Amino acid sequence: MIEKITIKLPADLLELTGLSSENLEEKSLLIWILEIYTEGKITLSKAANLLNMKVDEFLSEFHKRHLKHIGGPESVKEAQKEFDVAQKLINDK
Amino acid sequence: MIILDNSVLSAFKRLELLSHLKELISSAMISKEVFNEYTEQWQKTIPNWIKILQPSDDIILESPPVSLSSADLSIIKLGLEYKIPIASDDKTVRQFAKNLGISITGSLGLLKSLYQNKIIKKREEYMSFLDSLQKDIYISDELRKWASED
Repeated sequence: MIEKITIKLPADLLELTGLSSENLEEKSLLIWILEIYTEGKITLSKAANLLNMKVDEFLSEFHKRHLKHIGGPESVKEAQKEFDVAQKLINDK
Repeated sequence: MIILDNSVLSAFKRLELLSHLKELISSAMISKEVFNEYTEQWQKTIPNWIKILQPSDDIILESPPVSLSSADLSIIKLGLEYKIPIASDDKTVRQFAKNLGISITGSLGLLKSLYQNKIIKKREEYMSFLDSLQKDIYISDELRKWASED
């Protein structure tokens, strides 16, 4: 589903960024999705889907900006739990 | 047995640690959707210790979050069907799976387990993998200290 919205931008922005009104939509969508992926609000798969990109293309955009992905455990307690789950896999082998 | 999502599968592929992971867990499963994402990103084949399975149509998720893709939902369904842990580094997958009572692990826990079980033998090698993993997930100083402890 697509929802159309209107946004107001400083007139100089297009010139400064070298963007046209045509590719502004594509570019702003990419930046927006990179940001919410970085914050861990969507998954890698969802981010790529939203941009109609392959996962590796999305990761290439992500890595070239040297962004950090908030993923994995957020605390030592959570990390210890996921380590314990991994250790249990060995015992259950 | 464990279910892998593309975040963990790709992290271990990039670190060239998939064969080490096999020593730890012996077998794993992924869904067809995760296989498609992985093969688009890497290569057309997957190691034969990783089975590709589709969840049963009987598994229905009530109001799944919009933050998840069909590939993400497919591994959650596999987790519910087979009642085995999921390995994912994606925060929203981890949270949704936990809410459904599915055990969760991830790249950091698996990497530490590889080292603790001497599958990765040298400490400097392990520390190098830990550094490299930061490309996939943010590892705070506190988590790095925990991961470095023997």
